[in-house]
Amino acid sequence: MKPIYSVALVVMAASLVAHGQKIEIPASWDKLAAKADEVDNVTLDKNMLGLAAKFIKDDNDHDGVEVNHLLGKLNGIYVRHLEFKNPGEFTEADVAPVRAQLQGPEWSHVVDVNDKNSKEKVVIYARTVNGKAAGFVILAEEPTELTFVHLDGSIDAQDIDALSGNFGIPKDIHAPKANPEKPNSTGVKP
Amino acid sequence: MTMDPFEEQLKQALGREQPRAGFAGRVRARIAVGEDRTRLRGWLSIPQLRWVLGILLCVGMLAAVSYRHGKVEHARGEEARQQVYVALRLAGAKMQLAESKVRRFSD
Repeated sequence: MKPIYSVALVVMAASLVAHGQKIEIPASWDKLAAKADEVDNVTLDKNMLGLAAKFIKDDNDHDGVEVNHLLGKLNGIYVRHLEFKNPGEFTEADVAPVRAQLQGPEWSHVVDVNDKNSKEKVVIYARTVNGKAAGFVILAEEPTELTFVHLDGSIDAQDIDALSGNFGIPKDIHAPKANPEKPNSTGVKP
Repeated sequence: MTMDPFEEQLKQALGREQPRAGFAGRVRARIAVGEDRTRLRGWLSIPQLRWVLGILLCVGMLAAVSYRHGKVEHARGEEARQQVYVALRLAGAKMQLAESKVRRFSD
């Protein structure tokens, strides 16, 4: 390969990394969505977040200010939420490809809860790039629900704290800071 | 004095014929329409007025396009705002679930 092409490839790869990492949702989720009772699908890139921020600003309330502060730090919000009438509609094979993308040195589990009695599993992953926060992923498996939330951007625990008490985010939650040197530091596995 | 057939034809052709009923009214109506058209052509023959009308038409078209674009942007913005709130509510609900489990396990 000519050196010029190699340089171009490296530059392109670097710019992709700089713009965040998009987690690919497997095609099987589309098939699951067809069976689901309720489907939420959110794909908001930087431009759409900017547009949303303008409208949220018009709300003129305190929550709006906090939300806009958060949106300003984000490159994208990606959500897939499926709710089924009956349990057992999805399997580990549907979730494994997502989890596989959340491995590697940039990702760490900040919360890992697996309740075998209620068959509920929630894992919160934090991404850090060069020691800086670069986003959160929440992957929740419940008997009748499957949820993926990716807040892509330089948000940290303080940003989440600022929203606590709103949108169902617990009031006294203190999302742990991602620590790339010490992953799973706050993980809880019963 | 008898007329020959040619003279007879000529007399008939040149003879006075009464118009059909309402002829005068129809003529007056046509004259009025003609005057209106002439008046409009008269206005349009003023170059400045033609320019003003052209500019007004362009401004009107731009305003219509801008209005339509604004409506589309508004709909996209509203949808994006709703999506942000859906995402935050779902994130909040799952964080709450995780937090409740963590609390239960640590108690």
